[in-house]
Amino acid sequence: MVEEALETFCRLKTSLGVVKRENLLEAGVDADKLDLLVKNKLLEESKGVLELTSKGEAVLLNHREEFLHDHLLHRGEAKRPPGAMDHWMSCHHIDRATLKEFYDRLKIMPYRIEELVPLLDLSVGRTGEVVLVVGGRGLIGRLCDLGLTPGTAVKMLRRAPAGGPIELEVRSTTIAVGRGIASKVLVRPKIN
Amino acid sequence: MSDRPPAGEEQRHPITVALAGNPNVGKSSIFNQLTGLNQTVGNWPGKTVERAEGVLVYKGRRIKIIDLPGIYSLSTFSEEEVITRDYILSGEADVVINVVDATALERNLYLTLQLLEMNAPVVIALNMMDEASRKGIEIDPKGLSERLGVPVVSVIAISGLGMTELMEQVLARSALGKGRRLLYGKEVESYIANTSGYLRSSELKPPYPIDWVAIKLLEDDPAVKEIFLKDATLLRKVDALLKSMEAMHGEPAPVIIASERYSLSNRIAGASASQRVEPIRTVEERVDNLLSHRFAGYLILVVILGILFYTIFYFGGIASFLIDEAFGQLILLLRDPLYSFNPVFGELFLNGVVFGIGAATSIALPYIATFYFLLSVLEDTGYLPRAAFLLDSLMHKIGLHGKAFIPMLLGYGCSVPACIGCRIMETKRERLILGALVVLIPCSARTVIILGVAGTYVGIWAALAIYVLDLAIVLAIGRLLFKVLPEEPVGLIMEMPRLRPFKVKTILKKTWFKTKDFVYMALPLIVAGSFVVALAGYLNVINVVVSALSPVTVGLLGLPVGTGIALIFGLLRKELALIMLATYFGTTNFALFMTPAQMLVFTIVMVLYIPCIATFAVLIREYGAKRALAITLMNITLAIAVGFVAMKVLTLAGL
Repeated sequence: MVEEALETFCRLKTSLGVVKRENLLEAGVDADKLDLLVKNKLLEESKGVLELTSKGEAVLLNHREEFLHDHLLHRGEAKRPPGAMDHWMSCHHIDRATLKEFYDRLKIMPYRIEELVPLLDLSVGRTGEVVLVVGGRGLIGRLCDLGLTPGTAVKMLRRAPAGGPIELEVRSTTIAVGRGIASKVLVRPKIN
Repeated sequence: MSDRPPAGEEQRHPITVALAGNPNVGKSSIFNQLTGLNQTVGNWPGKTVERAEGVLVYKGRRIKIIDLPGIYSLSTFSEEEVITRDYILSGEADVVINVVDATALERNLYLTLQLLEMNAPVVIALNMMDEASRKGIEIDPKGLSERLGVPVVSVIAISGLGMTELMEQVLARSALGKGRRLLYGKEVESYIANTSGYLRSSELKPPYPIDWVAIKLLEDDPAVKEIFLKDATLLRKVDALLKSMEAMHGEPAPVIIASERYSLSNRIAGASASQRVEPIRTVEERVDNLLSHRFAGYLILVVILGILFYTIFYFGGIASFLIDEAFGQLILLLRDPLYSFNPVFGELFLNGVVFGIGAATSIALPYIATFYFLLSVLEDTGYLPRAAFLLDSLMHKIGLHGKAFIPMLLGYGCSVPACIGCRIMETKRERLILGALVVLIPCSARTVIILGVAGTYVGIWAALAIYVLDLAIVLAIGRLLFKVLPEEPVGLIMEMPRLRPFKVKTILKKTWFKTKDFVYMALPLIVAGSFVVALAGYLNVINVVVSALSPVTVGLLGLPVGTGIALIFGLLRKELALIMLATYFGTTNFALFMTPAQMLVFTIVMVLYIPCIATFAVLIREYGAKRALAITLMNITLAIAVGFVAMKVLTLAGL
């Protein structure tokens, strides 16, 4: 996958600052693919240092959007007609247009998108770090007020049966969050 | 804890103290400890949020205490937050007691920091220290006080420990004027300083702390931005700052500010508290797991609700019977002397006032008090949120979320608190749907009808069937309203309080307060209703009304013409309907004038058809006259329609 190689490049770029050909090879990207990336003008190479081109950035963003779209959309309940949309704490699943609003934040996200999972999918007993909440101002604000700011560790305590809400531990308090909302909070699971 | 003011001291001006804090931190317990029974409860002007106020006298000073609503933050997402924010900004409070839960210091300090941003004169009441030390958390109140720059008093609200020390600090603090905010990280502080600079050069000077206004502008707060609508230059400059801050962090501005507060509260909490040992939570965790288990959880829920209703019906029935008997004896005793004094007065007084008080107590004490007692147990142990957690997915089917279960449960006691309880829903739409549903739930008065007619003359299974039918109708109507009012449903976000044992004393106190509220609200209406009924009986207008209703009662529902009386007087008081019916037909044996099928139809109609007058009054207050009327019309139509169908079905079944 071309996109995964670009994701790897992004991750290295944030951790190393400067990415060279050998860094990418060490990270498991094979030489042929790297040549392909440069040939297709997704990456450009000058004096051994690799940079993302605007075309590369577009491909990467598209991939990230695609990924979020597949992971966040069409899950659980059926979509309701837009009409009188009230983003105020809405618990329904988002569409592509909403995702576009998170464009800027996707652009500088220092992780590989594949590392993220919706909070809903975190297994019981595991801890994750909040990365991104895809939602309206009301939802984001409410979650922040309860302590779910980016970077916060949340632990999955239990799930309600029958597609019900989930229970989390955050900042030594316990909070129940509906399924729809939990699928819009993206976390990076901690390795333990 | 009040003592008499020494002579000459009363002249000093009274102190106003506000209680602020997160929900479930013991704010109300502290309020009750301080004010005792000296409290008045009403609403904030123009809002459907409760306002409790009380007075105490300490060391000769009159201290007015205002219990602000429980909130997590001072943004403007809910009415509660707006009220608290406006109240603090008004500067009316000489001291703000910020009640803080010691077991969740970091989350609680988030609100504290926001109070300090407004330069509120804060005194912290650090509650639940006992529970914190049980969890292995050691807190150093002195260190916390130094880091926050405000007095910190350890209290145990439930037992009243630390109240004197708290009032000492409040008195001392009240003489010192405004408070000071804490500084955040260097970078955000530079944004705040820049914004404050712009604000100083603006023509508009809102009477609020300038740094607070700056922070709110950087948070993109709509209410504060509105103040500066006329100063487009300022808004443009602030917007540019905000954009550069967002570009730097890659997060929306409100999230940046919230993170900043949390990182400070995390640091303060971390430095002031230490986790001695890993908390032993296994037992609590296991119980919690069981309560939300996919099978056991629901089984426990059904058993708990079963016990709840059985106890209410069983004890309520016995106690109600005894009270009725007692009042019957009283009326017999009073009859002769009153009638010989003046027959008209005697008739109206006995059948109106005495009988009304009797009927009110025979409902209020047994059914309502038992209900509130058991409800308080579920509330104090923390079970209600668990039930809401389990029922969330069911409630989503009718466009609501799990918390809606709580007002619905309240509805089985009395529709009035149930309608008020709908306030826990976040949006107007949710409140309206839930309000329309809770009035359809049989309250204690309607329970009397279900048990007294269907239960007694047709069988207990018939009574149960009516309960199930009613629940099915509630869910169906909910589903329908969900379809008719298409909007994105709101998801559940709810704090889960810890499970804990309840204290009988607290439960009894709560039961008393809630029952008292019911009696104060319902008694005048009930007595007035009984009086109207007695007057109507005396003036002989009942027959006119009853025959006017016959197209519905006889024509559509196939009931005896006399049942019209129950429909009319059921508006005033549901359980009075039965007594009126008995009086009209001259017998308490309903089997003499109604067939079993007619009794079932009658019961169904009585359960559904109209909210009583007290409920109607609350509906108007909570939703406005137009919506209250719409809900009432829906009920009447529904009752007649369901009654009609039931009549047809039962006739076809040959009953």
